[in-house]
Amino acid sequence: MWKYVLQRIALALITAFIILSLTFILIAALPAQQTAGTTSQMFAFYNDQVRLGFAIDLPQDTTGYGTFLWKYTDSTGLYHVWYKKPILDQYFSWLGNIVTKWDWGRSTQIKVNVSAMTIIGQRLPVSMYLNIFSVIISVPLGIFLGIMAGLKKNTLFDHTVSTLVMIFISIPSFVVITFLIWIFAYQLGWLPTQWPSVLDPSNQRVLGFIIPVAALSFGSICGYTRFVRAELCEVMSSEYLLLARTKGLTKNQAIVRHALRNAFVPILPSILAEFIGILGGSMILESIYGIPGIGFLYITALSTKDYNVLMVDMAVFTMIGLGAGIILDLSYGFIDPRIRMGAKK
Amino acid sequence: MKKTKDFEIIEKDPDILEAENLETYTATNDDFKLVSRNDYAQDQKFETKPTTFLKDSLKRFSKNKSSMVAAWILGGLLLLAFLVPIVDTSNVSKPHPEQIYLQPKLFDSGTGFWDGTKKYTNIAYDAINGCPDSNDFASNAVSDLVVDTVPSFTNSYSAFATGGYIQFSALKTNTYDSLYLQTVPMTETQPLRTTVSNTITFSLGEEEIEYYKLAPYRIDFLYTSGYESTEEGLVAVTSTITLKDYSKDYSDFTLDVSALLSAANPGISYYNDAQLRIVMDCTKSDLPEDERDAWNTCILIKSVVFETDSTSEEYVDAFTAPSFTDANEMIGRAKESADQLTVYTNYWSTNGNKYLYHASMYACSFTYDTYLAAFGEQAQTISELEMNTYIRNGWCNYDFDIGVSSFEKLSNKCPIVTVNSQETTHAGSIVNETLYCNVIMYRYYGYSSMPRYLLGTDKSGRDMLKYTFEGLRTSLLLGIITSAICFIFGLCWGAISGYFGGNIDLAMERFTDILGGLPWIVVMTLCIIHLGQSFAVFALALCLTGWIGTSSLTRTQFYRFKGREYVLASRTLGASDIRLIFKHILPNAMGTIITSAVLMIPGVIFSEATISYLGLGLKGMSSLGVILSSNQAELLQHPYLLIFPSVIIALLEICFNLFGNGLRDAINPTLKGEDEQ
Repeated sequence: MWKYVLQRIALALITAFIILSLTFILIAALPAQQTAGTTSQMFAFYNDQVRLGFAIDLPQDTTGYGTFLWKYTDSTGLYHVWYKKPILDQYFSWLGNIVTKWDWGRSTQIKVNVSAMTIIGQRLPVSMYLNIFSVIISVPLGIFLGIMAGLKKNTLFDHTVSTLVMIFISIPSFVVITFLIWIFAYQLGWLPTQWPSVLDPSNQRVLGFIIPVAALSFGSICGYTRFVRAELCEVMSSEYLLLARTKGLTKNQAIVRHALRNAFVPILPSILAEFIGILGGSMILESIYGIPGIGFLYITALSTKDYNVLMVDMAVFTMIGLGAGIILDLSYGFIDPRIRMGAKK
Repeated sequence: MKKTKDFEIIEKDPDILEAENLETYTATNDDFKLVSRNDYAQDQKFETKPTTFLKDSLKRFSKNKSSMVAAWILGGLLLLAFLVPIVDTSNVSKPHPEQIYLQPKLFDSGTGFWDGTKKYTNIAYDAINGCPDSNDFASNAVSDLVVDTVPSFTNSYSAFATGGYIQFSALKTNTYDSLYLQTVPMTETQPLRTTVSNTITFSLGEEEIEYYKLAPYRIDFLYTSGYESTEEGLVAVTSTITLKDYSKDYSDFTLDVSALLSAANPGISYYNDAQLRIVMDCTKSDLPEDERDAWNTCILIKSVVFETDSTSEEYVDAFTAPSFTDANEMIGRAKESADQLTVYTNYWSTNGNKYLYHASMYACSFTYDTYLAAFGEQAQTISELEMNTYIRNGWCNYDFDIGVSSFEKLSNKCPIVTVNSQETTHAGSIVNETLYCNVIMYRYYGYSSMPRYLLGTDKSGRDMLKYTFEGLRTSLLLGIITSAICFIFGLCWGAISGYFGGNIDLAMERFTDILGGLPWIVVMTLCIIHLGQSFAVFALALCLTGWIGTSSLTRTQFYRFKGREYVLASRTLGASDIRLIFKHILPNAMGTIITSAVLMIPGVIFSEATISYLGLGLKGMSSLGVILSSNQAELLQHPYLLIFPSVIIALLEICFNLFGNGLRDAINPTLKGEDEQ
């Protein structure tokens, strides 16, 4: 088991390393973007770039060194010209900075000269709250509906639930949030039309959670319902449940002690994975509702061309994806040791 | 060795045993008689026609009602996506400023539903002209006008509102210690001199405002009393005379400025750079210290009237112009004209916030026919050139020398209803005639009847019907092309990986593992910012990670089938790898793989829409994602712009999923009910 766990983690780390390296090189290859802010901020920024090993500071103009970044005469009268280092140089500096100093670069546009990691750290909690609320709501509801539909298979209730699930799982979340805003915020006026700011009164801020959490949960509820129903239906027709019934257990006993327990084997890992994976799923919702989370940050960084923040944000999304994958695979193994996801056949 | 043993334990037939017992049994010819001489012993021919796998699947599929419905809807959408852009002749590639934001219209106007009208409520009512604000609404398109009997309050300036208060406020009690109002614009170049023969009548408000507390205030008179030389040159010395000390007196009161000033400074008759200042000291608020953070403070001023008896021309009386009795009008003064703006915005300036509070106005609600507003009868100037064209076409008669009375309408095609006046302008030797007419606009734009846009038009005046279906076409094309490429590539990759297994499989698997770890949103972002926002780049970016699903599915299927007996049999007969892959294994795995390819199409459409929301949508062509994301901001004002594309994309996703699931059930009945994507 431990060998398998280590294998999976090692593979994920290698994958992450390759992906992040590729992403960094691709982003470094983009045309250089002038930093926003005052000249003193720019001076500080480019000095920092030199310290981090991404740029070189020369005392006079040079042709043919690399891409020109900025020139400036500082208060002591010294002339500086900054040139971009070659991409591979930058890449190794970047690796070194992360390994030795955990330094992922500075923001160039959003909050000039602030560490990109700090910005992500400020934005992450909002996204996490949203997703945690969404999971708290969608897991019990989804499981409940799934169990009901599975137990009452082929009844009117089951058909209604299955049809609704089919419909709602197909509708994209941005369409759902658009309609939620239109109906509950604009038409009825019950809920705020966009994410309340920190200055708003606390009841507004609580109400502000409803629309995004609902939009996030819709898909998850449907997913869980469908999954639980399918699993339960499979378990219900299995031989051991028949045996349990012939042993003399009542239907309820058989369901609670045998059917549900076994049905939960694949469900539990997917909940765990969802807990992590859903973090990445709210990018558009955040942008439509104006929620200052990491998804919205991604879009802001993209539109303002703040590539350092974008890079870290991409790294976060990549790690979330990989982490969710590992947890899914490993938890299968822990819950049911017969299963080895991704192992050789 | 074993074979000999088998022969030993043959159970003997009872008949033979009997014969052995009899010891003498001789076979006669009758024992070998044929049972039937005419019948051939062979399999009977099928009475029904043999069926192929595909036909069988189709039969199963057509029994699945929901999938059939989905398939028909999909077929309809596909047909519409390719037919509508051809049939609908309106031009969506260029903007049409004359027809922006037309509402969806299917029925004649007046039916109340889908008729190109929009219901407006809470619009400022212009009591003088008896219509809603004529800058925004054409009066001929307004119907069912209902004016509120009770005035409503507004906190923003409206030309049709009256009264109210000017609300001066500090953000938080601890942010600003004081706020002041300048009554007089103070410029360095033009110091204002003012006489002091004034009285000022204040009228303050004492109303409870949400989130605000009324603050105590003080009224000061400021002036430049002299100059003092410093290193930086002469600096004005400002002196302050307190006209009214801190109080919470919100009743009307009059300050006799001249009396107060002469008491403080006897003998001075004029003051330089005079200003009136109202100081709001929040620390003097009677709120307990710990509650001050929770409240903003403000004062409300209803009117300030400066009265003077001075007739002196030597000194400017700076205190008459900023008088106001109507706060709404005071705020609006700044908006009236550009050159007035510089003057009036300096009156009543503040270092805190200045708002209008509770101006009263009458609101009205009405139905507005957007088509009548855009294409109905309107006043329009017609140039000589245009008129000559109409005359040449034989639509009307007009003589420029006689003038207005000579207008004669000859045909219904003529857009002009009446000519109101004619204006002649001379530019050098060229004489230009301009006619002011009432014109039926749709005829003016060249339509033979009032246009009717089924889904309305957007902010550029584009026909949403054509635009949406063009977008649908792009999205579908992208989905189908991408899925096809992913399908072919994933199939080959998975087939090789699954068929050969071993080290090849291991290497290929690790590669897909790594590529599969890349979030598609990152891949697309990077591709698009490097390569541009064209259709081909989108297809490429979606393909880069899209094929992995198909590949791993194919690989699993190959693992499942490659050890089967029929493959072994074929291999022993000397079949090549290619033959085994394509003739024996693939056809068995095909059903599942095709289904996954179909289910990939809605995923691609969703991805494309998502990337549009990031601001990286397709450039130069519409897609459902581009339409949705660019109209997202119009949700409040023009929801129809979002509803129709949303419904179509939702319908598309639902139908593709239903269709794909039905296909899977049909092709692979053993998987029925197993809902996994």
